[in-house]
Amino acid sequence: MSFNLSAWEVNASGGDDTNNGGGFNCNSTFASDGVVTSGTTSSPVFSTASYNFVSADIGHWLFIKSGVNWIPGWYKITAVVSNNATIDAAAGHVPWYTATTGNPVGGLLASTGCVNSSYAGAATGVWGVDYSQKSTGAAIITFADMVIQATNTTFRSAAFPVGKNYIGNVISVTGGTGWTVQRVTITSTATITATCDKALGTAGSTGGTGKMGGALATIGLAGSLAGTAQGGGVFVRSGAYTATSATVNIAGGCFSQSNAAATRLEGYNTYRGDKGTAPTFTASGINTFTLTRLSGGLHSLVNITLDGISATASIGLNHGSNFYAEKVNINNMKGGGFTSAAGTGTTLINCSGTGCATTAVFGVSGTTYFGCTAFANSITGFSKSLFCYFCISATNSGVGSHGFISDTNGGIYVNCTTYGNGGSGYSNVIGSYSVYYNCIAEANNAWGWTSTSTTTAILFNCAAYANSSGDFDAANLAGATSGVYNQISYTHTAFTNTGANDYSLNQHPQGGGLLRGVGAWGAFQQIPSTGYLDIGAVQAPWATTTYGEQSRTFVQ
Amino acid sequence: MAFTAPIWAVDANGNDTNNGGGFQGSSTTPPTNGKVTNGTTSAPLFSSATYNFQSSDIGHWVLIRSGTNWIPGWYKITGVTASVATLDAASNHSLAYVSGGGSAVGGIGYQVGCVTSSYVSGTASATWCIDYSQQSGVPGTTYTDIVIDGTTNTKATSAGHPFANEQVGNVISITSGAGFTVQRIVLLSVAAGVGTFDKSLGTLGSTGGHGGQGGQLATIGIAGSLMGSLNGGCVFIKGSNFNINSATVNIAGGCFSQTAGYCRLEGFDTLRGDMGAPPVFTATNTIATFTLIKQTSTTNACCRNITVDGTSYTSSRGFDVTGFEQSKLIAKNCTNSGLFLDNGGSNSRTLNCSATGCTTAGAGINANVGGCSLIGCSSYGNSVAGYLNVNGAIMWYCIAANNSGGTTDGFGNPGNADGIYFNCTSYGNGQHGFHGGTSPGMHINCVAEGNGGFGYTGTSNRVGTLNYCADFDNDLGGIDYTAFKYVFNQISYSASAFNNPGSNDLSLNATLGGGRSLRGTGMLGVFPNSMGSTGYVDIGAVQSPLAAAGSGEHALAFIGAEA
Repeated sequence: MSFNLSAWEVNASGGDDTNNGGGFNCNSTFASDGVVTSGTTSSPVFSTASYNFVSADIGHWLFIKSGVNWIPGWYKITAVVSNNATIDAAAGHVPWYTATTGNPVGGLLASTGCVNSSYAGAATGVWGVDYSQKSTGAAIITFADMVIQATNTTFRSAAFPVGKNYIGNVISVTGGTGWTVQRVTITSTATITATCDKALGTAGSTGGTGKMGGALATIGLAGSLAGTAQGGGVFVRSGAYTATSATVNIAGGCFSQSNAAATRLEGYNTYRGDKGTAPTFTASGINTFTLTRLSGGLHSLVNITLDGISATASIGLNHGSNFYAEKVNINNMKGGGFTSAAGTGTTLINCSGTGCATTAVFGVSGTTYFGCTAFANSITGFSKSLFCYFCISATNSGVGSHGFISDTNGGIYVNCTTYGNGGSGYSNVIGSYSVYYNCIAEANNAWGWTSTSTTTAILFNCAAYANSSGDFDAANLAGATSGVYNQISYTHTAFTNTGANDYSLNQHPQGGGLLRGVGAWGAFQQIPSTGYLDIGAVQAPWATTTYGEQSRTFVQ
Repeated sequence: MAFTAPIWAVDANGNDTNNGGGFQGSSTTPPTNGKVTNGTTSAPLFSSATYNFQSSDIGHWVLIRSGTNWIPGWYKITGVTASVATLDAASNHSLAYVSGGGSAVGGIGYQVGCVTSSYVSGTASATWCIDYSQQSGVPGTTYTDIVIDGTTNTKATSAGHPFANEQVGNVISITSGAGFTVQRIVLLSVAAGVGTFDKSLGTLGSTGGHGGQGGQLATIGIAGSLMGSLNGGCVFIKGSNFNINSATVNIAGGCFSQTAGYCRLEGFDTLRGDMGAPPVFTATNTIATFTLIKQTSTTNACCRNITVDGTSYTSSRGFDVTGFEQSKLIAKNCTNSGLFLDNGGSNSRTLNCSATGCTTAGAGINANVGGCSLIGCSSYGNSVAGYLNVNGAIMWYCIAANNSGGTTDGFGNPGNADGIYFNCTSYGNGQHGFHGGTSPGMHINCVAEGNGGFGYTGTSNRVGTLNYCADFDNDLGGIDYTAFKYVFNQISYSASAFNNPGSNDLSLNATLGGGRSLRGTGMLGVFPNSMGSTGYVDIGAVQSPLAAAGSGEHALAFIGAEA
C-alpha cells in the first residue's frame, strides 16, 4: 500500500525531513464513533468513546472523514476539557476533505459547524487526529520502544500505547535493529496494536525508534514522498525554503512529480487553502535546475514564489497538459518561468514573473492566462500567448522584448495592459488570427500593436499612447479581415504610478479618465443589461475619495 | 480569372439581377493621379487630371488605394464643385483599406483627413478610383451597347457609357445580349475607353450587351453564390429586413452558405464597420430544415452584426459557423440551436452574441467545438439550454437567463470536456445554473441565482473548482459539493443581486446582502508578485458603473479630484 490520498506538510519552522512523520493518509480505516455537541456552531465540542483527548492535542487537527450529516474536513483543536475537544469550525477555517482521487484537500469551507442541521447527536463521525499540521512543525510522539508483532506490518509501543487517534498518521522510522528505516502510515488499530501500510522489518524486532506527526522541512523531500503516490497534496506553510541541490526529490533538492494522478503543491499561511502569505522556494548555489516539475497528470501548483536567483539555466516550473496554477510567482530565472513541452489546456490564474532573462516567463502554447503579470524582465513577457485576460506585461527591457507575442494559432486578449516594454506592446507576428479587446499599449519602445501583413489582427476598443514607432502599425495590421475598431489614442499617461508598477487608471481627462467605463461591453445583445468595463487590466473602484485612497463603496 | 477579394454589397433596395453589386479593391489598375487640397481636414478637395467629378458622384465613395503620404481608405463624396470632389474625411467617417489581401476593408478610419501632414498639397500621387456599390439603392450605370473586342474576349467598349479609369474595380452584371455570357465581371483596367475585365465576356465581336455597374445585391443568397469558395473578400449588408423564403442555399432569397474559402460577412447601419442596427433575416414560406447562415469554411472567416429569425420552423438553425470570429450575432426562434459553433473552429472567438426563443433541440448557443472562447454573450428565454458547452469552451462575461424547462440548464455540459467560466451569470433557468460534465470544470467570479436545480453542479467526484463564485436561491442548493473539489471564497448572499432579472436586466443592484455583496469583490483584486496594482472586478457578467446617479440612471462619471 502506498501513500495514496496523503497530505504532506512542509514547515520551515520546526520541520524535520529525517525524524518527523510529515504527513497524514486519509485512505485509512478510522474510528467511526465521533459525536459532537454544538455541532453547527463555530466551536463544536467533539468527543469519542474510543479516545480521551488530552491537552497535547491542542493545536493539532481533528479529521472528519465522513458520517451521516457530518461535514468532512480538518478542524483545528483549540481546547480540551474533560477529554472532549473543542474545535474551530468557523467559516473559512476548515480545509474541506474531498473523497475524490488526487489531492484530498479541497478549499476552505464557507459554512460554520462540523455537522448540518439534521445531525441529532449520533456517534457516527468517522474521525482521526492529524498530527502533521501543527504550526510548530513538531512531532507529537517520539517512539523508542516499538516492537514488531508476529505480523510484520503491526507494532506496539509500551511507552505510547497505540490509540485510535494514531490512525492515518505517518511515522518516520529512524532506527532499531531489525527495523527498516522508512516512513509508514498507521492504517488501522486494534486495541493497542497498530497496523501499517508496509512491512516494518523483522517480526519480533524491538527498540524501534521514530516519530509520529510533525512536518517535513524541505519541499524536495516532500516530492520524493508524493512522487510515489497516486495523487495527494503537499502543503507548504509560509516561510523561506531553499533548494541547495539541483537533484530532485531529496532533502534540500528540487520538487518533481510525474505520476498520472492529480497532485497539488500549495502554499498557505494559517489554514490550508487560505492562499495567504506564500512560501518562497529559492535556489541557493546551484545551476541548471528546475525548481518544480509537475507533469503527467492533472497537477496544480498554488500560492508559492519560486526564485532562481538568476542562476545559469534556471527554470521555475515544468508542467504537463491541463495544468493549473494560481498565485505562483516565478522570479529571476534564466531558462524559463512556466515551461512545458505539451501544455495544452493549461490555466494560469494570478501568476507572475519578474527578473527573468533569456526565456520568456510565460511561453507555453495553449495556455489561458487570467490576471497574470510579467514585469521588469529582460525578455518578452508573454510568448505564445493564446488566451489572456486582465494581464499586464510591463517594463520588460531589451530590443525585441515585447509585451505579448501571440500563439501559433493567434491569441485573444481581453483587458490587457502593456507599458514600457523594449519591443512592441503586442506582436502578432506568429499567430494567424488575433483579437484584442479593451487593451492598452503605452510607452513601448516599438509599436503599440504590430503584426505581419499576412496575419489577421482585430482590435476593438483598444487604446494607445506614446509608443515609439507609433501606436498602431497600420501597414502591417492588414491581414485577412484585420481591422481597428473604436480606437482610442489618448495624450497623457493613463496610469497612476508606473514607476511603482501601479497600472491602475488615473483620472486625468486625457489619460486614464478617458479609459474608464468605455470598454466593450457595454450593452449586451438584446437584453437590457449594460456593463461598464474599463480599458486595460486594472479596473477602477467605484469611488475615490478626495484624499486619494481607494474605496470600495459606491454611490447610489 | 475569378474575383480577388471582392466586396459585395447587399441592400434591401438592391437588385440581384441588374446591379453589379460589388467592388474589387485589389488586383486592378486604377489611375495614379489623384491629388488633394485641404487634405488633412475633414473635408478635403479631391481631383484628378483624368476625370471631372460630377454631381451624380455625390454619395458614392472614392477609394484611395495607395500613394506616398496618403491614408488608404474609402471616403464618401459629399459635394462636387467645378469637377472637384469634396470628401468626408472626418474621424470615424472613412473606411480603412488594407492591402494585405483578405477582406481589403479594415476598420473605420479614426483619423481626420486623407493624407498625412507630410503630404505636399496638390501632389498628384494617389492611386484611386470610385466605388459605385455603396450608395444605397443607387446603381452607377446601365449599359445597353457593350461591344466585345474583336481579338480579346476580356476586353469591351461602350459608346453610350465609355469605360473609364475612375470606374476600375467596379463589378458589372451582364444581363443579356447575343453572344454575351450572363455573369458578373470586374473592370480591371481601362485604356482609351477599352475596358479589360477579369473574365471572358463571351463571343468575340458581340454587340448590344446589356448590364449594370454599381448598386447592391438584394439577397445574401446571391452574395453566397458569388463568394463561392474564394479565400478573402467581404459581404456587407445594410441594416434592414430580409426574408429567407427558401431552404436552398446561395440562390436569390435562399440561405447563405460558404463551406470552403472564407470571407468577412457583416451587417452595418450607415457605415461599413459601424456595427449599428443590424440586418434581420427572417425565415418565411414555412421552410424547414435549414441553416440561415452557414460559414463553415476556413478559420479566417468572420461573421458580424447580423440577426436571424428561424420563425420556429422545423429544424431551423440560425448560424452554423467555424470562423475565427463571430461578433454581435443574434439568433431568434430556432428549433435546432440558434448559434451553432461548429466543430472544426478551434480557437474561434464568439463575441457579444445572443440567442432567444429557441426550442426543441440543441441550445440557444451550442458550442460544439473545443478551444473556443465566448465573451459577452447572452442566451435567454429559450426552452432549451442557454449554452451547451460540448468540448470545453471558455466563456467570459456570458449570461444565461430565464431558459425554461425542467431539464434546461443555464450553462450545460453534456460531454466530458468541461468548460471554464469567468464572470458568468446564470439566473432563473429551469434546471441547474452551471451543469458540468466529468472533466475538471473551473468557475471564477460567477453567480448563480434562482435556478431550478443547483447553482453549480457536475458529475460526482470530478475535480471542479469554484473561485469567488456566488449563489442564492437555487432550488437544490448553491453548490453540489460532490462535483467540486475546490471551493474558494464562496459567497452565499441573501437577497436577489439583480436589478430586474425578470426582464433580463442582470446588472447588480445596490441591495445589502444582494448585489452590493458582489460589487468589486471578484478575483482581481491585488495583482500578484507585489506588483503594486489593485483592480476591482464585480462578480457576474454585468459590471457596475463607477458611480450611479441618485435618480437611478447610470453614469460613467467618477468621483474625486483629477490627478
